[in-house]
Amino acid sequence: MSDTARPPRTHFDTAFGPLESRVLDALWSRGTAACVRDLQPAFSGVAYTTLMTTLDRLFRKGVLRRDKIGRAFFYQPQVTRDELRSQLAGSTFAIMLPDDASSARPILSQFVEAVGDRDRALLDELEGLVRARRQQLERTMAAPRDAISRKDAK
Amino acid sequence: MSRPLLLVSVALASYALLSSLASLVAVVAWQSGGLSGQNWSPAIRARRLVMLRAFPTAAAGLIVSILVMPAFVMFEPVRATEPVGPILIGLAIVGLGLLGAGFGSAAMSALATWRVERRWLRAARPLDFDPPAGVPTYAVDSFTPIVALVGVFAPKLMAARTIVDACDQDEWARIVAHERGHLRAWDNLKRWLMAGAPDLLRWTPAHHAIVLAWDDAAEDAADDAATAGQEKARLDLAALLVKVARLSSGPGWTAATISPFIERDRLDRRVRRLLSSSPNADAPRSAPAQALILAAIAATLLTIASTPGALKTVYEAVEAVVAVGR
Repeated sequence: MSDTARPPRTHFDTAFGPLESRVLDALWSRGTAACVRDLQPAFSGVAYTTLMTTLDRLFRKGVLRRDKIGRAFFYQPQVTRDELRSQLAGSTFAIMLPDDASSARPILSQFVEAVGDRDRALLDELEGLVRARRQQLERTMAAPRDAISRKDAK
Repeated sequence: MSRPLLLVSVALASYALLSSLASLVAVVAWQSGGLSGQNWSPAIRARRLVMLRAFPTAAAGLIVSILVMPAFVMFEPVRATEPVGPILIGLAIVGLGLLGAGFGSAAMSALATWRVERRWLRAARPLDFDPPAGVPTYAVDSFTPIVALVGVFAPKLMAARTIVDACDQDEWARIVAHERGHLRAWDNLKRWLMAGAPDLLRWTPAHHAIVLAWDDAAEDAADDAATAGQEKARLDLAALLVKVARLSSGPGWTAATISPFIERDRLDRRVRRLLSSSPNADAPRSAPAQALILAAIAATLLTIASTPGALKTVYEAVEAVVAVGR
């Protein structure tokens, strides 16, 4: 039995998930702007909404530019593959921290720590809680207003 | 051993002994659970945890400088040389090791911070706010979405352009208010001092537990400072935390940021805490007992130091250690 050492993770692997990498590759190969429907044939087994979310995430990460044409968004890479790789290699925030807990870490207080891909469910759950609380608060604030309006109406 | 060298050795040995004993006391105090109390407001909890973490170094440093060294200088007869036992030499080496490890770690941390800051500033553009943010703020072109207060003595607020673009003015004001909470509490300085504490405690699991508990308390305190107890502000901050976390979510971002092992629970806890109607409403807001205890300790040490009889006893104890195995 032979063991194959895992190749070291590059900045690119660290920055993008497998689907994001595939979507970027597809867009670079096309060379022109594409909407979700244009890309879908190359992603059999991937739901339309998943592809849409992935494109949106890449847009939010600043890697894609998008233009609304009609009712659809058309996405295009901001940079070429090589440019992105070199930017990531020198990405200012990507230098960060050694994995070894005993190594010296820079002193900083983060607003919120990054969360992994696996935690999307948690974010959805928390978002739901925020929404529910906001509705509850709005109802609480609206109740006295309604009472005053009813009193005025009488 | 010459007198100056003996003085240094005595100081190092007493520091090693006292800070190790104090580390033991800190571990016991932490494990007793009294200091992880959730009844205090986060600001007070954070302050007490810092005090607990600083206790071994501070107590040993104070006793050595106020009692041991003056006693030694006052009562040690002037001799050309004095033979010393192996216990003193051993303890002095341990003391030197503790101080070296602590200061070395603090220096490495400061250097790492300076490097990060310099590198980020190269790609940064200053951001102006009206009203002013009260802290130098920069937008950094980066693919890693991060917002952080960076630096020990003069921290700067740095944010990835992706986050700056995704947040409106109100959201930015909330982020700045939160980070100003850290700034006013000198959290980065405290973080640095705890990282470089030169004592035995740093090698125990209690150190990591205390620092993590402090980290949580400091975040909560900064959240409270940013929301000033207003329910809507707490709700908005909770929503903003989720929004920024979502921008920062991805398979790889965690590898590039701090504390990858605690972020999930912390985000969950912070958001739920902000959504709970009035957390720690009954918590005491000030800590008069803390100031009284500190004043009592300082007064006791100074009283002992001004009593020749007590100093003589300290000197005799030191001499006994110096003579062991001679």
